[in-house]
Amino acid sequence: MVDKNVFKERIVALLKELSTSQDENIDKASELFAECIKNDGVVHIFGTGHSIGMGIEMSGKLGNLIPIHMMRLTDFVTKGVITLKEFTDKDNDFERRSDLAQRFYELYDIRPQDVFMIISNSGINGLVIDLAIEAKRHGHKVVIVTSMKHTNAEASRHPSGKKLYMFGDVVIDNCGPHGDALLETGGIANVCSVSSICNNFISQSLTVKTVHRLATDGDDVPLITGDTVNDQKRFEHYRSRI
Amino acid sequence: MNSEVFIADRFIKAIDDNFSANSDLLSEVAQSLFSTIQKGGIVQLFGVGPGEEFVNELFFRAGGLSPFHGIKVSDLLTRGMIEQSKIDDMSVYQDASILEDLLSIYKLDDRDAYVLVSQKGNEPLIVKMALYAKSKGQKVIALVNKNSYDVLPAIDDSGKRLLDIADLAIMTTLDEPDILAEVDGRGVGQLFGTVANVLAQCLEAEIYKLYVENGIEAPVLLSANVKGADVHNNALTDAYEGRVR
Repeated sequence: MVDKNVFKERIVALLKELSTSQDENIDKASELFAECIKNDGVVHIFGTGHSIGMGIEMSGKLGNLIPIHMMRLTDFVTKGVITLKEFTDKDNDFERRSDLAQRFYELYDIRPQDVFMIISNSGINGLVIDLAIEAKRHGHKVVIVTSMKHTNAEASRHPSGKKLYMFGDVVIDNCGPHGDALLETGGIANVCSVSSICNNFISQSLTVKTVHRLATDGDDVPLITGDTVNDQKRFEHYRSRI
Repeated sequence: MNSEVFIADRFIKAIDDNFSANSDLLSEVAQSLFSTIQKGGIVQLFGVGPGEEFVNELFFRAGGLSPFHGIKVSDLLTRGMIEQSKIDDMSVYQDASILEDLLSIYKLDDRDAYVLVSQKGNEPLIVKMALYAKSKGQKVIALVNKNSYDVLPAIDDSGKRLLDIADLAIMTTLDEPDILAEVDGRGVGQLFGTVANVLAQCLEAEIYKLYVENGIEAPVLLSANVKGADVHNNALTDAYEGRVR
């Protein structure tokens, strides 16, 4: 049975499960973020496809932290790493390519104390895995957000045969099902995907926990407050990095 | 600190409240969009700022339906038609003069309907898009946050806001601003993106239900990261001859 009531009940149950089972992992990730920000670092967020939602959730809005940098897929095109034709390719081949991560990393002003958060529901594609390897190679801490049910059910497309979660200092499971769609239809395809809702919940929890840590430790909290002059001054501090 | 439980409670209450407030309307919107799709139309999605999450929620998504298409300002960016800074500072949404360029990228059809998402509901780009759709006799569904919408003036030169134009409106009832939590006297995080995403999936569930009730096979997309999905998905989207991707 598929309808709005069923979906609402099921997503609420899933968020409850997520909030309980991932509390410790989200807490650990917020510790890495707070430490990074205390050391004048920036958190770089990258996800392909629908995983871009975490970057949107955590950056650029009232109540969000300022030292958050969204690594956008569109930067590949605007900075000339791949062509528009490759970018709009129907099969998304470039997301599965494993030779782009180093060039992607080099597009940005990334400092040693910075932390990475890499998001992929499946955690099997070349680009995200290579970026995690690249970040680790440079000595950054890496937080991974993935669906453990999905990643465990599919083979890696990376030459190493490894999955994204294997490179995480902290791994947060978004608790979503294999294939992402939550409601069974009785046919081959389930409907109503949940990774972005679950990932939003994780994003918001991370922001709140990180701010809480900084505030509790008496550290500066670089938050977008709506006070335009002060916010601008803070943005200026991180300019070229976010 | 176990803030997870507290955050979860806040989200679940917001989801419950906004689901109840919009439950009947979700069914009505689903019926309207289902009828658009049955007549050969597709659903054009556009959102301001975080409203783009709603677009992503329904556009070419695993477990989603194929006749949805996302209109995105980033498509102008990748074609070199606007600067990144206009997206970063959100000024792109204040500039209705780019509407023609934006729409020129896509294969639009008079049978299409529009779902337009904006917390404030007054940005000139989205207001002009709604007016454009109405001028073609197309259906416009709006999603705004009531408490933001109610306190903000019209800024488009037409003097109109989204609800002046839309045929149906889903309204969230979150505070303006939609702050998630107070931490040490600071407003932290937001609720709108998540609540809107849940409403998007509820809408999708209702549309799917209509396929079943009408005995029509629903064009459901598979996760691209499941073996064999590309062939299945391309077959569904190719049927729309470039209108959905």
